[in-house]
Amino acid sequence: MTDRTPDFSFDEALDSLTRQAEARFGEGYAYTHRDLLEQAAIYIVNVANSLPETETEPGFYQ
Amino acid sequence: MPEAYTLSVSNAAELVRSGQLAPTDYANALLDRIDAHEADLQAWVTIDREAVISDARQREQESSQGVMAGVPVGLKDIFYTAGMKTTACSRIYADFVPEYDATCVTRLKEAGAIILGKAVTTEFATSDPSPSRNPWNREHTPGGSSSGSSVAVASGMCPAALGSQTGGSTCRPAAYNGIVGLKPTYGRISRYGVVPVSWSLDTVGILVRTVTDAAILLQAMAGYDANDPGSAEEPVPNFLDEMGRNGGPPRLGLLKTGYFFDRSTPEVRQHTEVAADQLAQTGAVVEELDLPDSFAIAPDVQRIIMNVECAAFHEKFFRHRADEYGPRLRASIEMGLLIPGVTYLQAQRLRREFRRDLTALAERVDALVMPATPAPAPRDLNTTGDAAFQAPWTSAGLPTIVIPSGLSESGLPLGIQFAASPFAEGRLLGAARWCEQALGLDMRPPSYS
Repeated sequence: MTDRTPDFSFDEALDSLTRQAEARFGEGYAYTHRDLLEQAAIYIVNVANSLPETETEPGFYQ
Repeated sequence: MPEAYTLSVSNAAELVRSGQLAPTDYANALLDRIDAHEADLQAWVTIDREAVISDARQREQESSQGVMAGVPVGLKDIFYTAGMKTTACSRIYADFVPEYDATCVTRLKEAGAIILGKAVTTEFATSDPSPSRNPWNREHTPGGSSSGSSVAVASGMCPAALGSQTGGSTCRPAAYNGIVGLKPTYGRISRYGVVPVSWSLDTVGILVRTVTDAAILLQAMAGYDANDPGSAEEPVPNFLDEMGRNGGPPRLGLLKTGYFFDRSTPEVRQHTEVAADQLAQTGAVVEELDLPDSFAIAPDVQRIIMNVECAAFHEKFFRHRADEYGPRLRASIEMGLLIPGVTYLQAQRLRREFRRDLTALAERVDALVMPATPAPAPRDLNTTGDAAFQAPWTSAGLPTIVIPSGLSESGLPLGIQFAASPFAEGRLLGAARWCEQALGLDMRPPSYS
């Protein structure tokens, strides 16, 4: 069975990352590291939009 | 006899075995060359001259001489060397002295090699540029992360050096410096005793000046190692024999549409087409192939996995010493700490899909062929360049090799990259050697020739 439905949007991913970043690295981090957080959000959304076939297990040591 | 610095591994080992070249004379000649050019090129972290000469003398007294007999080799400064600092060019490991050699270093020594010294790497083999300079033009980056290893081989300081590749850290600097870079299949060479970037991506790389030399070093180091969880139990063939068996005109799959050509400069696109035409006119069968749809996500998957695994390795140091990291590595670690666990696992699952699809594509030909880099080495010492043409293959674990294919209008090296299916290094090396001979180039940086 294949389900490749995306989980969430770029804005949702960025909001989530921003909250985590502020909690871990302190207030102001999200403002000074906006590019990093946006790039991470792009990765997360791209992966969420390309979900593997349901039966696929992770590769790890290939 | 040719100048010592021009000798290939193959030629030098043959001269040593036949008694025409004394390992001490060879080592001294290379040490003198390092003395002459190190200030310009900054390729080395540690050279222990006395230890090198002592090892060379020992080699002269040995009756059994292996495939690397008396040949000095440089090691990127992430390979453990017993009793010699392994700093990863970092403040965190600045005083680290391993108690044992990395497995691949042990195997090189068993094959008769002499460890010449530790070569400069970017910090922890990641993206903050090192001080090494490109011997073709010192204003351009030599690439990274195996910057010192590549510069040392290109400038004749040593005939071979070890690098590593997590994204593009062997094949990209090989292209930028006009030499041969081999990234074997993931698991082919043990990483035990190699400072990690990302466990499920890291691959030991080989930097040399000929394809035959790449086969020799691979032969010396390949094989299962129980100390490395990623080590493959795949049988190790005789790569030189396999290369010979695959020595005829190869069947090549040119990846001309999509990812690689779209990202290349017009000059690189034209150069690759001309090289492919030349190979076809010499007898190779060149057909155009398309990348599978699953390839599209490969670059993002590589970044996610690398950042998360890198963060996992550094987390303990990073908690208290974050200010001691370079800005790019620090950003990678921070991103890795923020990426959700589920995203990391989805990336590992996607990786399995495009590995399967790329393997099927690669099995249609002897080797896939594409430009080695989107452009020649950038005129910018604040970057290591673009690893976009290596990262997807590293992520898939397929073997790749870069050979020099000519010069850009600006006089910098350009290369072509070949990829093959997993553990098909013999076929890959055979195709690459045939192409190397068909192109017939002898590329050396003019200021160091």
